[in-house]
Amino acid sequence: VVGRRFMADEAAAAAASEELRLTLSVPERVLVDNREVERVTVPGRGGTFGLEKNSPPMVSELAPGTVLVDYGKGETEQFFIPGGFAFANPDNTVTVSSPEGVSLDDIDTDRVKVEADALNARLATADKGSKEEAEIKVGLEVYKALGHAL
Amino acid sequence: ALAKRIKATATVGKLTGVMKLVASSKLRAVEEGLKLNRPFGDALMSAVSMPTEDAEKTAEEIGKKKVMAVVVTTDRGLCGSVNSSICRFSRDKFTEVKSRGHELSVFGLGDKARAQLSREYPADFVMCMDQCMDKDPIFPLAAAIAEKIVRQDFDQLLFIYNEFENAVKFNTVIKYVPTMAGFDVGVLPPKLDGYEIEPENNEEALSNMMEYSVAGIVYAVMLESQACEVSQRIIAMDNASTNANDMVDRFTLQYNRARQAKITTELTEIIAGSESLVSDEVED
Repeated sequence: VVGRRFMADEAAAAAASEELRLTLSVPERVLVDNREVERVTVPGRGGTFGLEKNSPPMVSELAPGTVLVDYGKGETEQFFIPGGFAFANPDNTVTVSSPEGVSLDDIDTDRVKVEADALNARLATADKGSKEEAEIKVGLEVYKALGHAL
Repeated sequence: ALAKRIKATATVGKLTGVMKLVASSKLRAVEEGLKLNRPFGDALMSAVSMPTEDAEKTAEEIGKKKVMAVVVTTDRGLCGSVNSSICRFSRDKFTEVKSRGHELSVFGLGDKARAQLSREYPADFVMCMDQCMDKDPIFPLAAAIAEKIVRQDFDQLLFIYNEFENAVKFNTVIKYVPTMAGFDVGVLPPKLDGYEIEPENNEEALSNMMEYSVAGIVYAVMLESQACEVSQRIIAMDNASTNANDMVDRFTLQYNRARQAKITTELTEIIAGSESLVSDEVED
């Protein structure tokens, strides 16, 4: 046990001198697979924030929004997620976990307005305080964030 | 009678052959799905799961704890030893948990958990969900199951499931997941010790994370279980087909020998009869 802990500290020390590694995953696939990044910006529930190498460890609940990945040298990628959690770990890795996630390029911009309007119509007729109303509001929050992102 | 038996056995052989083919065609997709899920599942598992040594301390050491075991079995049978392995392992664990002074409750997933365990532990079973494990796992289903799980009364959660190693090997394993109820307010799971929580000082964020992680773990566990079920079914049905074919061969041999013996006997009688007629003629 002592030997293993020593190795883990060594690995952490070694990792700290390297670049930040990001993994962005959803249940069915991995969107960013343990890649070196310069910076990743995530939509925290308390506000958007960025993570770079050797950030202090933290776990953050995420709101619907965009994850902006900066690989460095001008290469970036953007993903939309409906929520989830981000973990900044002491071994210089960041894990973003979400129930779903898509590249912004893959989103059908026209559909967004159509779906949001349909939800708004349903909201007008839903019972106040019902589970259905809550679900509609969650959906609307996602579409609002989608609208901002695009 | 033997002829009927041959026919019946041949039919069984065809059925098991078909089942093997169906399972084989599924295995590739199932294995691939499992591989794709591993980053997601591993991340959550490593963020929230508790080392077994810490989880398995006695009631005195970690305070009186209510332990809930989620036992993951299949709905359908004919998949080799996957379910009996789970049930054996579970029985041992249940005995252990009770001997440590903890309270046990059992949440069953899959019809086989009900069939094989609920009769032995009737007082401990809080729920058993069937018709979930016979479908392809999807995250919404896992989330729905997780919702039912987190609503139960417990301090510590453990999962007993089969981990897929390869097409012929699986391991029955146990994973401990502490829940917020088991900690004092604001205290994090041991793996996340020292982490800041965002939004700040929001306990809700932590309990949301734990619930989300339970959903993620349920999903990962369903995929592992399905991969084990499919691969073991291939092996079981392959063996069954081979056996059936062997039996058909053996019975057919037996049948032909019996048929030939009968013919020989008839011939012998005819010849003996005609010989006695011929010798009668000669004597005259």
